[in-house]
Amino acid sequence: MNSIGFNDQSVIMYTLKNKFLLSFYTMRGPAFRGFWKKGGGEISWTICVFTYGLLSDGEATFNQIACLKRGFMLIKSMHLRLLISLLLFCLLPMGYSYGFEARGQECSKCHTLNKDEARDLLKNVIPDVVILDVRLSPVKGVWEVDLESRSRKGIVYVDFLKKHFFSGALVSIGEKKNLTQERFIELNKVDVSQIPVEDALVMGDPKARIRVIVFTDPD
Amino acid sequence: MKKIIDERKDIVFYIKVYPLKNHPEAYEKSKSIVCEKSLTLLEDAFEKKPIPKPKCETSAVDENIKLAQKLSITSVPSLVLPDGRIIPGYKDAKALTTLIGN
Repeated sequence: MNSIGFNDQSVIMYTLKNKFLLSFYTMRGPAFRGFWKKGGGEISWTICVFTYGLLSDGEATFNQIACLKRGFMLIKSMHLRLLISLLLFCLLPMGYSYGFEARGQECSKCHTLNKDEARDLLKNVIPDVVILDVRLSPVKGVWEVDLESRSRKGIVYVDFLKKHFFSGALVSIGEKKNLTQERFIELNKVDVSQIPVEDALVMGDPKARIRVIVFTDPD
Repeated sequence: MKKIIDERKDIVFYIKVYPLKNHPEAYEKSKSIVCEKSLTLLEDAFEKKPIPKPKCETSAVDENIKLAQKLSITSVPSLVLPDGRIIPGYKDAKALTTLIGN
């Protein structure tokens, strides 16, 4: 018999073969015990109320007041079992098909788009297109495709059906962020050391740690 | 930007003049500013004060234009942060400091 103590010993669980017991007793007042039993073609659970007291040697005494038993018979007929299993199996895909949104990341398992396929899709609409990366977009059912066309990098979105693409700003309402622009900025990162600053006007301490280069128009 | 360098001594701005094609006078003004290497002159230009003709011959402005096009910088002002991110458009001091980070 295993026993697991909870909460200063007021709840005790016992597990026996095919039998499960939950015991709960308050410091003053009645104690409750529940039994969960499987076997003999039935599953049953019983809840009993006890009064209890502590003997001088620390042992507890329990006097059962009343018990309530509930349960159900296990289905014995193999035919009926088979029928129910079959019915459940048939109903399962229904739940899945309605659960499209909730499946989230799973979409990448049943929908795929690789760089070659993306290039084939876009080559006739975007001149000299080179696909840099493809990933799921934050919007369900849409791919985010990083590309370069005539030495300019950009982002387009392709739907799972691969029938349409669009470009434009994807904004997170909750975060008030232009997600497309953030991606675009990451994509267009430059090597700062390649920008000469000899001719630049200096604002601030030239020895400062953080150098920010500003391109501006005088008008 | 002035507000930022007052508050953050660890930041320096290198300003490169990049006249846009749709501002026809900006090219000459840019040359004058580069010749003088003068922030005052740039501020005068922002305030629409008359800018004297360039006092030198310089290719710096043309090079800036070429470089900006190469880097796909199409709008001004555009900032290039130390990690290479190009941030387009005007930002207030607070937003800018957040972008620059520590």
